[in-house]
Amino acid sequence: MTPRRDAAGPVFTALADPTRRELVQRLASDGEATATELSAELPMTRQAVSKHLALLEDAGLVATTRAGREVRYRLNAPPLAEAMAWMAQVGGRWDERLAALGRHVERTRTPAGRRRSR
Amino acid sequence: MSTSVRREVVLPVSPEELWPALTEAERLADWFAPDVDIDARPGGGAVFRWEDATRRAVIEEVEAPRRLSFRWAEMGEAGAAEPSRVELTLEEVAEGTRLRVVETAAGESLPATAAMLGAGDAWEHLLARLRRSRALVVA
Repeated sequence: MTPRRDAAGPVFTALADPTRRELVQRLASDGEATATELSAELPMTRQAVSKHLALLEDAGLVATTRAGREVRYRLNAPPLAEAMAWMAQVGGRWDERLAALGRHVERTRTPAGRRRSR
Repeated sequence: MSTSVRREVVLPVSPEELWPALTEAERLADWFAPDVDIDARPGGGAVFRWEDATRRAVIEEVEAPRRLSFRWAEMGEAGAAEPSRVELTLEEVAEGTRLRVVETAAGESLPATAAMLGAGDAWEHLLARLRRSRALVVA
């Protein structure tokens, strides 16, 4: 019930881009990949893929493992879960509050608002 | 851009009529929280108490009857959580007033919860939800 202390600012910025969503999806299905491998699957250069991956990494959505010169990327899912939980909870509460406000307004509406109908 | 939740509702009263329902303790107690203390001035404080929770707020902007913003957080056993920011804007429309609510999360650090995602498009669905403003017309 208690709202989580933290939520995912950069997460949604990172996922607002369709290319990055595609990368997340690939990593979700492949498990792990290098920028080179990912660029082979997508119509873009390795450099472009690397930039997107860096942004995803900043947002905490992907984690890296270095093996020699190679950097392997994999999905880091908890931030997504955190953001989803926050949004579902906070949004749900505002739905309830606004519904209550609607009822409150109906109860407290002054006759002035209905004068027109006379 | 940060993580935020947006909602809106159209209410059949003018912004001037709606404003007290958003800023006066007595009115807030009828819909928002059973026990409310509020000093609706910039820098003023507010406390909202429910049976199972208490939230403290610091009012930021007050532009009657157009705009109200505050930061608030739940008071937990370990003290206050990191506050999120709430912005309420009122816009006069033919049917009355459109009230928009945007609550924006504070922090950027992300404590781990259960791992998810994997298969499926849960996040895609969530993004769509993020963008969607819910309009409830109270006729």
